[in-house]
Amino acid sequence: MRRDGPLPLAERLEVDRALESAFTPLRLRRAPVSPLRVRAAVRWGRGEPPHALRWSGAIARLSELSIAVGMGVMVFAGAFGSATPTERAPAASTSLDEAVDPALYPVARVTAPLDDEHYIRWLRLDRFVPLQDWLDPSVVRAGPVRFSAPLDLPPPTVEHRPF
Amino acid sequence: MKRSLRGTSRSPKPVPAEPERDPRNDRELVYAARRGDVPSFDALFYRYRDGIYRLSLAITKDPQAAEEIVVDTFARAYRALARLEPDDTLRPWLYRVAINESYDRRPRGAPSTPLDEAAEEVAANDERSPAALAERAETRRVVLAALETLDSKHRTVVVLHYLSELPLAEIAVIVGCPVGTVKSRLHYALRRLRTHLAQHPARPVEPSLHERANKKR
Repeated sequence: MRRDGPLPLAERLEVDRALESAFTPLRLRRAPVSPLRVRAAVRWGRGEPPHALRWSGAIARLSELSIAVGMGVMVFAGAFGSATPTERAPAASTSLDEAVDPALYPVARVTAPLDDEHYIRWLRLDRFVPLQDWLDPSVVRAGPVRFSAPLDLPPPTVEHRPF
Repeated sequence: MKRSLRGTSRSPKPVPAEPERDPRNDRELVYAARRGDVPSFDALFYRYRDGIYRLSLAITKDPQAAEEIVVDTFARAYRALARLEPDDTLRPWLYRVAINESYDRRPRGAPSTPLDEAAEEVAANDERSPAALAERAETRRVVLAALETLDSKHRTVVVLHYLSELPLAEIAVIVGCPVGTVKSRLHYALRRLRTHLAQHPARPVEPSLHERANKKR
């Protein structure tokens, strides 16, 4: 007898009976589903919205989106713009980086603490503006004391200052 | 109140009342539903609802998933109404969708046992001795477990043939292969099932002479 061919009739009937018996309870089951669920799933009967209503809805979405984008841009620009120092470009005549050398130019680069009572004023005036009345002359070096720059450089003038 | 053998009692969901069977064939119902006739679509739904539910339940073993598959299958049928051209029956199309959905939702891990509970419900109605009922329930469990050892294409053919009682030609349309392939898959599946069941201690089927000889060796 070929073992990979069809089953003999007697054996086939046995398996048939076993499967019939196994599926009998399942065959008695009924679906507790109403067609209303299908209609709800496909939104039957709601129809298409009117043309004008569809356009107004689209315009409303668009305006909401543009407001959201504008707000987002404002928030990001405000956050990063205030945090990033905007260095002015050095004068074209300065080939070396002396214009920004703090040893040559005692520009006060002090960050005001948040609890400083002048903080608002500080922000308003630009934090990189040297406020001479705030500077302690005993701390800030005023002279052109430097050892790394070449000695034949012209002395710094007010016009060369970056600010 | 009926109680299952495990001591857990669950009230079955009420089945919505089915209206009288519509005499029109599927093609007429599809064309009427395409024009927006709700009762025609409902008639199609009631015609195939239970078959799809049982098929999905046999594959997924999850009544909740089977309900969702019924809804999803008919929702897809509704969306496809405009391009559906059923000859006489919509059944192969619906069953194919349901089978695909069922295998998509079939749990990967160990199967749950709602089918065993179904067996117990039937057993509770049967007028036999408790020992005979327990034996029958065990036989069912073993057969269904053996069915799980088959791969999906063989299991599908067995379920469509023995549970849905579809002819081989319609099964061939559903699974998308020639009738000869369906026959071959069915024979292979039955042989595998028989071997599996004959080796089981509960022994739902007697081992053949060849199998006994192999075992003695």
